[in-house]
Amino acid sequence: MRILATYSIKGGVGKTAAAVNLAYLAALDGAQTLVWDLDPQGAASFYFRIKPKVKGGGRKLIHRDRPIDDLIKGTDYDRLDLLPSDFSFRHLDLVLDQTKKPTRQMLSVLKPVADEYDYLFLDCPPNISLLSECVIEIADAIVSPVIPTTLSIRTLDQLTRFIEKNDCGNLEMMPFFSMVDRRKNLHREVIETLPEHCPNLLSALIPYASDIERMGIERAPLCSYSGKSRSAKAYRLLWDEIKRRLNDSRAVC
Amino acid sequence: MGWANCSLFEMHINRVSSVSTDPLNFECPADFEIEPFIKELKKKFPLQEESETSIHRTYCDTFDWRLYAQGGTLDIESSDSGLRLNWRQEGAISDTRRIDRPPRFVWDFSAVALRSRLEPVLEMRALLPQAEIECRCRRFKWLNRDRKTILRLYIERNRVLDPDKGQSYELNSRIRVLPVKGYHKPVQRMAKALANHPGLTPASECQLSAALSAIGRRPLDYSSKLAIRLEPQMRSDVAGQIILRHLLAALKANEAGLRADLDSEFLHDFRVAVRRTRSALGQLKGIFPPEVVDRFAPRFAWLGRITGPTRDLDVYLLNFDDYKASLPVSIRDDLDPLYDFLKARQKQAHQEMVKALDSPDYRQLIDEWSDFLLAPLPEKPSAPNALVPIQALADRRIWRIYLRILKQGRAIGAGTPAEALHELRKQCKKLRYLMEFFQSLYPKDRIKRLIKILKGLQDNLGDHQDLEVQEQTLKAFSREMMESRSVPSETLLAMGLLVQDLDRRRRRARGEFADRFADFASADHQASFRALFDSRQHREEP
Repeated sequence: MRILATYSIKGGVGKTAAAVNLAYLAALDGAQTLVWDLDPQGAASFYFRIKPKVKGGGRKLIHRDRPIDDLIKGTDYDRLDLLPSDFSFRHLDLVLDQTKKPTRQMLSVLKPVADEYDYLFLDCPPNISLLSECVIEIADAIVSPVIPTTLSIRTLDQLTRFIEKNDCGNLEMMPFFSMVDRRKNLHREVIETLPEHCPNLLSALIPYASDIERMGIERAPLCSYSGKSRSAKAYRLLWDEIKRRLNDSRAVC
Repeated sequence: MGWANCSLFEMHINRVSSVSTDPLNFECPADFEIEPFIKELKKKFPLQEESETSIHRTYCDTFDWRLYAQGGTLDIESSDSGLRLNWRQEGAISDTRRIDRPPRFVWDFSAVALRSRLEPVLEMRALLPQAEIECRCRRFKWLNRDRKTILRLYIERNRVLDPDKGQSYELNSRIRVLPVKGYHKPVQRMAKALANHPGLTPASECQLSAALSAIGRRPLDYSSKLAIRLEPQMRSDVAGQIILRHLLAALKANEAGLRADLDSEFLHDFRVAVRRTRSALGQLKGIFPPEVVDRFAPRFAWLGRITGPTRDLDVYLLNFDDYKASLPVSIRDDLDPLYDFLKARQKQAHQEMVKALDSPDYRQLIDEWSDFLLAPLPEKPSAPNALVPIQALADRRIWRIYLRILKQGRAIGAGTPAEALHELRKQCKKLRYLMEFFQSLYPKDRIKRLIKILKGLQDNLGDHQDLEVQEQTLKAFSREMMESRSVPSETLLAMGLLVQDLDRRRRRARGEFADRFADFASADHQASFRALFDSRQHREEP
């Protein structure tokens, strides 16, 4: 099972939309795919029309009092499942802090389903916390949306330094431009200049588009109801690029 | 046997109670009225109908049912949304994925996990359509308050196609419940409602058996293994006819596949049937009049000869990946022109073989042989051993060949020429065939153990001879390729290295022979052979 975390320190950058659509495309390709909605706001769960409720809450889940497989829900799409969010996830940091080896604990929570799924997408809450440290340590890749603005680039820098400091082995950093508005000069400028400084930046661009925002109304992955739209095609390009990058890194390993 | 015989109802109950995403299936009686049923169901459950789809479902397996024998089935569904491959184990889906084109061989599978799972099972065998079903599927989904699908229900009308007769037959309609993971209560409610509905009966997820039975077939209707039931007191000529009829059936079963070159095993099994037939004619001495043996034996030898060249080339092609792997990585691709050469040769040899099989000689042989094997046997036969009970004949023949093998094997030393090993290999084959023909006359576990012991020696002798033949043939091929100037010198160099490697392996096999034979002829194994085959009347000292 390859673990991909959609993560950014900054909120509102298109993390959940990316997690939901990439996972949908992975499943469409035939891969058994699981999304774990780690964000207590439960946006990914909302998109899949699944109640943000986990029996026993985050504590029982992390302490393995409830097997993870009992908590997973099937989405409306073949091969795509969700481990929903729960409001108690706002205290996940605290729960992990009280655990002896939090990263190892996260891995043992996932172990029972590791053979069942080809991909696990972790949709993370936007902050730097113990939870995000665990996520960074267990993930094979961090898929990080970046709005082409100065502030977003600053947070990308912060994240990159944070990852370097934590020495995460083979972790692949995969930033990509999100919510791109080509009418804005700043966006165009950043898109032109950033790749030089950030060689691992993916080339696919996710536009700022109303059809992506409509996901909240449709409560479904964009690619499922508007598969031929420009935005859906952009997610397809992004997913194909991520797959290639993952295969290359596997070959190197 | 596999899952096919297990209680379907139990399977359903287990699936409902465990957290499973497997579907539940019910079969409708022939006179079932669908519309009132749907109306009633909609009153009880918030079902929404989706568009109807049609699915063409093809169950694929190898000619010898390798997947089914392992408790698996593979079906390919073709519908508006493209092609989908489903791999089921013990009746439940364990892999399902979209595909671009149906796989024919295991190396056509793109999914790595499934390919590695099936590789040791399928080996070189092609996947062939075993049953084809046309399905019209009415689809319903159960939505909760958030309009999330929490259960799916399909009502399928199925027709099975009989490609031989160009006809199709209606199967009973089926109702499939497809649970959504994590939503158990709707499944339990729906399963209960369906189980209580008059006329509906729990059915297997897999329709293969039902489809085959509709066209008068059953799974596992071909196996390359001999399973001949004989009675110890049976007349030897009667037993001989039974054995040879089995072999003729195997020969005929493989003919179409080898003509079409569906995969290399059809020809292999065909040739094994020919060799076994020749061996039976030669070894079951005196059970038929000598003129019968004289009339047929040379013609089966001819059948062996005309099919030999294609088989040899098949073997080189099957070994090709191993050939490449035996070379240093940097020159492996240099060998590729050899593959093209072999492939072209194989095609040509195959055409010639089919031409020979199209000849009146072949047709006459099969017809006359068939007539002979079906003809009633004379009450007072002229052949000296015709009336001997088959048990006595089997004991005697097996024991005699066994003693001959011991004698010939002991005479082989480090410097003995290769011909002696070839001769020994032939004797071992004769013994093996006899033991297989007469398996049912001996306690199963004991004869199986002795066959295994013999196989250990046969593998060594087989390796030795195959490697020698390959070495010689590759040398001949490289001379031909050099003369025709059709390949680059790198290829010839790579072939030179390959020949060297084959020679090294042959010498290793030759070196191992003494130990293998010593094991075969150990006092313990000799005692086992003696106990099983040395009847009191024919006791001889080995």
